[in-house]
Amino acid sequence: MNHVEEQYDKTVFGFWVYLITDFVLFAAYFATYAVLQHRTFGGPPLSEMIHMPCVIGRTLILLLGAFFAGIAGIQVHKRSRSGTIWWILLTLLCGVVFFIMQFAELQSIYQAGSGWQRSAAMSAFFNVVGVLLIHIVFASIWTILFVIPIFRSGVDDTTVRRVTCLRMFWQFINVIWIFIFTIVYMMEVV
Amino acid sequence: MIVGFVISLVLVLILYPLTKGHEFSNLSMITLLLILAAVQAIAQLICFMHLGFEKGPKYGLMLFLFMVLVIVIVVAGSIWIMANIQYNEMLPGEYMSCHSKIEFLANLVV
Repeated sequence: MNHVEEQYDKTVFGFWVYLITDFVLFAAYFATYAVLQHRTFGGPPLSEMIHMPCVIGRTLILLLGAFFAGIAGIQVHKRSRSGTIWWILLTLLCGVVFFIMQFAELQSIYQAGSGWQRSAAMSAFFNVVGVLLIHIVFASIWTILFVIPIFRSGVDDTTVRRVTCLRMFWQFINVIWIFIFTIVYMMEVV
Repeated sequence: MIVGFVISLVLVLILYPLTKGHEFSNLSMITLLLILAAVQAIAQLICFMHLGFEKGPKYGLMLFLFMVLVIVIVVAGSIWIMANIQYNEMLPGEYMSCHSKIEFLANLVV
């Protein structure tokens, strides 16, 4: 195994360890939500404030984003500069559209008078969804910062390593969203 | 990777129609939803993130399985403890509304 491969393996494994800790962080938020979800303090339940087809649309957009990120990961291993840039920008587009839709929903819930200060259930809801949105904001900033050097000087060994981590981060966001979609949204409408 | 995408796509699209017009109880419906979420997550972890496909010792997979253990303890433990607290803090009159402790705990979670 040469030096480049070794560094690649180490970096990807280190990033995987970070993602594991992030999974545990979200598990704590999910546990909080599961415990507090019915403590609405007389407020309306979440099911009256969400529009399910819109949520499913968002889910599909984010899934598409994770799929595009996977293609970008394949393109970068082929050392294709334009392929990497295009697929990664498509991932970014999906992430941004998802963010806007999700933020609009949170805003409408907040303006309907059920903000995080309304009850323990709403606190837990804004916590788990808000932390995911913060992840998306940082993933977007990170994507933009990575695309610029690829655009300027093409794909090299460092780029392959970076884009692999970035791809894993977008896919991680999607895996977390599966559980938010199921535990927070679907269980509310069952 | 396409396999993972198709599995996830199908699961996302069938979930919502599945919750409409079913004849299951709430508890079994929620169990089903959790199982389907786990299937989708595993499909994505394997097909997108290549979990368990690393060369050499599978440290990544070992770490992941340990994380699953930690998460199960944290989440199940929290729900169990908090439900028990609520059960023990009920007023005498509230005991009438449920037949058994298990039934009370199940209703609390669902």
